[in-house]
Amino acid sequence: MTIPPTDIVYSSATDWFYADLAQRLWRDLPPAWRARTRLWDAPAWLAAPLPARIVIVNWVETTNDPRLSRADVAALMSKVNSVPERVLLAAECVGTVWFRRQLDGPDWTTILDLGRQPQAPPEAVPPGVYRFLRYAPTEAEKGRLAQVCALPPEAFRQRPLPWAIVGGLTPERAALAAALAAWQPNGLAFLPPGEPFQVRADRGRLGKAQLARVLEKTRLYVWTSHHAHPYFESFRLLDALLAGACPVKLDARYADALRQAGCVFATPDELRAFAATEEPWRLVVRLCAEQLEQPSLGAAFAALWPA
Amino acid sequence: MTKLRKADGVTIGMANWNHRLFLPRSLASARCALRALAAQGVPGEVIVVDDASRDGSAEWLAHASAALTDIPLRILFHREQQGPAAARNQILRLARYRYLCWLDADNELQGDNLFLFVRAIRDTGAAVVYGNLIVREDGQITGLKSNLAYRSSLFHTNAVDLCSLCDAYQLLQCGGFQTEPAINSNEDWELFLHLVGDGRLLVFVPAVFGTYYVRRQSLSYRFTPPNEVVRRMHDHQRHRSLEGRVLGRVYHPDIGWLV
Repeated sequence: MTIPPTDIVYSSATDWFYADLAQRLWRDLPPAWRARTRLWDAPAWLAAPLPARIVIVNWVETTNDPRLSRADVAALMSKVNSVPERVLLAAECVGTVWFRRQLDGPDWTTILDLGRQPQAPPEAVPPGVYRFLRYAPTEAEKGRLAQVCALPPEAFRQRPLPWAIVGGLTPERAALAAALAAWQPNGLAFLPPGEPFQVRADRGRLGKAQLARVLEKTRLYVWTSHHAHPYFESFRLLDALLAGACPVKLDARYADALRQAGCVFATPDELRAFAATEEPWRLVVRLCAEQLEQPSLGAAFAALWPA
Repeated sequence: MTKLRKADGVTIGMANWNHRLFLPRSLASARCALRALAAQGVPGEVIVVDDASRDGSAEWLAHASAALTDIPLRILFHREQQGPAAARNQILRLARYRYLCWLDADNELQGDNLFLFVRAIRDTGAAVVYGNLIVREDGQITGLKSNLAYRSSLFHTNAVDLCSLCDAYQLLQCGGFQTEPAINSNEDWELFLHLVGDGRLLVFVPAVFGTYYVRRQSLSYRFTPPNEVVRRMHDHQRHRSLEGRVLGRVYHPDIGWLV
């Protein structure tokens, strides 16, 4: 098998999720792949030799790196277009402006959609360009999930926070926080105003470690979506499970399309009925087991390009 | 006279001007909050200062003071309107307890959560702890206020409401609310900026503190107060508001420091 020299490029100065994703993906690649793959922070890659394949982890976040000037972004675009194989790795809902903006970049040979289920790409995506990568834990994270499965149910019940909602503020999320507070007042709602490209701890936001600390004290990690398409936000599921919290998505429009996950509800009332049982912890254990059966993130990525 | 010694507990302070219609709702939420605090062993009281209302507030409050015998309730009446800053300074001086929970007469507290904020202010020694205010307009939830860490951008635009829990000692040390007419309607914003400028700690606790009602008939509906004076006082040449720095912190008693 010949693995072409590959560069994974991301921005360490915008959304921490994508920087973290790039690093986790690289660390989790099979050894033969990792030996042929380099990980680059975007500004440094401008001076790097051309690889045969480039994987840009979220083009929009990368080009909004405050360390890049307009000229740098233009140079980045030209350089990416000079690489024979150009892969965009994104985890966005196809119907959103965030997904469309990913297309305003280089001429991608592959758009790799990371999530729980494939999406129908927009017409602007040429046939054969869209590919799906199921979001999965890394091998290291699988070890943590196995530990979570072994925890006693009492530890889950004794968590002090009944629920947590974390994200940018939207009217829907505010309404959800109000509904959950009417049920269990002492939940955690961290919903600062939306500020694209500034999702960083030094902007007063929660980073990966802070989010994990919140979820380790939380029974239900709840999120809602305002997308016009079924979209699961699978990264939240893994964040919840790694901290031993039960993931819960509320989606009034698309609950039926997503219900096979076991943690999607149409209304807060459905959630309350679910939370009143022992099901949340059972669901944590079941979902952890499901994640453990999947190929790891790096292995699944490598499997997309067989010899 | 300023009471130099205040007991450990919570005074809920309400400055009222022509909010007769909403007093039953806000006072009921304050009453629930005191009961919830009492269940945790935290003493409390409510002080309402009516700033010469002309809508029947005084009569309603006089009736309430006679009828509501299950909570410590003190009501003071101004013969002439002195403005919210003066009314709040009076509450600040008269408060029996160290921690002051500010409640506008048209808003509501999430009483069951007030103890969480008491824990936070005790744990952190902050001058102010505040939390999410659910914004309701025309019966709809439209967003949140006071939902972010205090940042230098708040020198430019105020996004943290006074509805919060404050350390009365620290507010008194900083001189309380400015009664200067030039900053009328901005006195709470000015106070928080003053506290930040003085190196005091303002802490966001990511839990629901209460409900903020937006009313079309309110004098302040969609009114953006002129902030030039406040900016001149605290944000010289707009330098501070452009720095993008986080000035406050984020804390939760069950988790610890988050930011």
